[in-house]
Order: sequence, then C-alpha cells, then structure tokens
Amino acid sequence: MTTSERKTTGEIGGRDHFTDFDLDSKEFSENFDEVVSAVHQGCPVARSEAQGGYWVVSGFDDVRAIGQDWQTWTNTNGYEPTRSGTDDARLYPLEIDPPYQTRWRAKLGEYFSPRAIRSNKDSIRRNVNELIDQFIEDGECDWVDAFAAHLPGRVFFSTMLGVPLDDLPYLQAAADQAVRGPVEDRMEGWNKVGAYLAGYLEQRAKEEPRGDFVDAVLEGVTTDDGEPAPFMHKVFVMVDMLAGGLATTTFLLSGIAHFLATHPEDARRLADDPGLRPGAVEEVIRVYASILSLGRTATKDTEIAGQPIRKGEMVMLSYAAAARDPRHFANPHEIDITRRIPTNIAFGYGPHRCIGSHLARLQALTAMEEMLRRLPDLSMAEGQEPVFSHSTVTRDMDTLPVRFTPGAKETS
Amino acid sequence: MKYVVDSALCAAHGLCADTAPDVFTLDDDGFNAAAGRTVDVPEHLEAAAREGAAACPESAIQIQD
Repeated sequence: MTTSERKTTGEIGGRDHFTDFDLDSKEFSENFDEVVSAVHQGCPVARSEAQGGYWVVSGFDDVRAIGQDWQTWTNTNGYEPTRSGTDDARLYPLEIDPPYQTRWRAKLGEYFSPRAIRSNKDSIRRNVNELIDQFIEDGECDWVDAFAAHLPGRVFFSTMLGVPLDDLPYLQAAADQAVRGPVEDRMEGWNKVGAYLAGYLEQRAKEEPRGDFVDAVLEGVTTDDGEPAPFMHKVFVMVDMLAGGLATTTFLLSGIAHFLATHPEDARRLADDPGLRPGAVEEVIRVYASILSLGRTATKDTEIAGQPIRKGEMVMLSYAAAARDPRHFANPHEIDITRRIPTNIAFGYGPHRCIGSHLARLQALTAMEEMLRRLPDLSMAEGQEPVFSHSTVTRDMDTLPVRFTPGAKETS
Repeated sequence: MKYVVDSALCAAHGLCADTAPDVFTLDDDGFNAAAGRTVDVPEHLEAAAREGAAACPESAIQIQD
C-alpha cells in the first residue's frame, strides 16, 4: 500500500490499533514498524481505553504544534495517564508549566548547552574505553548489560553531579534496578536513588559551592507565588534529570551498536569518513527514538486533526512515531546516514524539549567513534536478535548479543 | 517589531530556525546567530518570528513590539 491510500483498519497482530490502541501492548511492541506506518496512514489520533483512556497523537506536525502550545496542553496533570498530577512526587520541570517551568529551564539549561557539554568530552571518552576494556578480550558480550546500561549513569553521576567515586557502584545498581529491573522492583530502585540524591543535596548545601550543576539546583528559582522553590522540588529536579537521561540514553547507545552490527557497509563508510558520524548519530536517535510517548492534558475543549478532544482528556504525544512520519521522511524506518534533518523531533518540541539532548548526542558520538576504532567488525552473535520491549513512555532494548574480534585492554 | 536573543539562555536546540528559517539563522555550533543582539523584524515576517520564538525550549527569544 502506498502512503496516498488511506488505511481504514488498524488491525495488526490481533488488535485494532486505531480504536483500541495500547502503548504498553505486546501487539504494538512486537509489530512496532507496521503499527507506526498504519497510524500514519489511517489514524493520526488513535484512541486507547487502557489506563483510564487516552489519545495517541503520531503526526509530526501535530506533535510539534501541541508541544509548543502549553496554554492549551498542560503538563501539570502528569506525563502519563497513571500520574495523578497531585502527586507529591511531581517531577520538576517535566510536570509543571511555564512560567515556573521556564525559570527552572533557564537555571539548568546552561549546564547542558553544547559549550558546557564539550568540557565533558574527555571524561566520557575515558568512561567509554574503561567499559570496553571490561569485555574486549572476550570477543562477545551482551552490549546492553556490558556497556549501554552503564555509560549514562557514569556520565551523570560522576561528570555532572560529582558524587564520590565510592558511591558509584551503589548508585549504578539502584539506577539499574529503577530503569531496567523487574517491573515490581523499579519503584524501590527509584526510592533508593531519590533518597541518595536528597542526602547528596543536603550534603552539598553545607559545602563550599563548586559552581556546578548541583549548585545551580541548590540555588533554585522562585515559584509562581514568588517564594523560593522548596527543597523537595530540588530533589525532584535531580530525579527528573536522572529519569529522563538514563534509560533513554541506554536505548540510544544500544541503537548505535545494533545499527553498526547490522549495517557493515555503513560502518565502513563511517570508519573512513568521520564527517558522516554526527548525521548518522542523528538518524539513530530518530529511528531508535527513546521516548515512545509523553503526555499532555487538554485545558479546554479543542481538536487535533479533526478529532474533538474534551477538556481534561490526556493525549500521549508519540515522539517515536512522529520521528517516522512519512510526510517528513522518505523511507522513514530506514537509517540513511546521509540524511540531514534540521532538528530531531525524537527529543520533543517546545518548552519541554529534552534538556539533555546535547549530552546524549555526545555520548552516542563518542561511543560510535570508539566502537569503530576498537570493535570495527562488530556484528550480531550467530543467529541472535535484540529483544525490544517498551513501557508507556520509553522504548527499551533488553538484550543485544554481539560479537567482535577480541582486542587488547587500553587502561589498567 | 524587534527580537532579542539572550545568549545565556540559548542552548542550540535550533528550533527557532527550523520553525522560522526566514527569520532566524544558526551559527556553526547551532546557536542562534543573533545571540546577544537585538534584531529588527520586517513586517511580513512578524508572525513567523513569533512562532519561532515560541518554539524555543529555553524561552531565549523575546519579542519586542
């Protein structure tokens, strides 16, 4: 079927994804590309009765327009249907609106700008190579378990937060449990991380300022009542950065490896021509978009692409689907390392666009550079495929068995 | 109408130039090329300038009527 034909049924894998969409369903997870193509062709605003009911918006232009219109689409009702919006554990600045949200972004943004991030380059490269050293002699590994699950935490905790090195193993384990442990154990992982971060903030408040990201969080901003932001808001700024930055970057780093392992021609071109690498990273970010969807709630009766939406209803903006909108990308499911995309909707649009996009890009680019240098013949393990899964919000890769010619360690 | 870009807030997301390419351009690092300056907007581009400013995640672009 061509894109000009309108698809009239969303029946794929035993579920009608037009009238009975479920972001968490296995029918979606197992038929991801096909379902995304189908909604683009026939149902830009799909209905779900899961989790109390929500709409799923997939079109690039609709996701962009809603992302920018925070007056009509509030974040204060939570980022997914199961969030109440009155939760004490609100994430800042994700689950608030301008102008309070704007003040936090202004406070935090300078620590994530390309200029600020550049100073982390050597530290990221050292961490990449330390991780590769741990398995390069083996000739095989599960890339997620051996590499992708570890780099983002190392970068965030040691490079951005400056936590003591001795605390890293505990934090890594807790973050790992929160992000990719058994579902029933994840809340316990988040609680451990939150408790640690609260304690770390209290500790840092007593110390001389270092002029870093943590000091900016501690300085804080004023709320819309003109009061200084309470301590708990600052703790949940830290938790938000972690929640937004760990599993997402793990999926991106897994995507980089999966792409290189399955596209040896592209890997050779990238090895020969470093100038192609930033564009290739951008394409991996687009096709392996980590954010499946994030929610907004209508503040008034409105409509999207002709579909009436009532005040109080939640829409899930599918960044991952928008990033494959055939109206914006030819062969949308394919990675074309020569494609040039002006901005990447995988990071969202408007006031809540990913604050850490440049840090994610730098980790992905540095990992790609070192993989091309040290693991040039990376391939999938014989007869193996990656295992994908997803939640309402994130896409994940659970395992990625790869092999390569064994190499020598470079650090001691 | 004029716009002013706060160079301390611009974080090189590039959404202004993506939304309103006739108004905003980026430097080699992806920052708004007018960061730190006040720029006149021709009348026929005023609506585009407002849209581009609204697209900025950092609210770094202020419109001055």
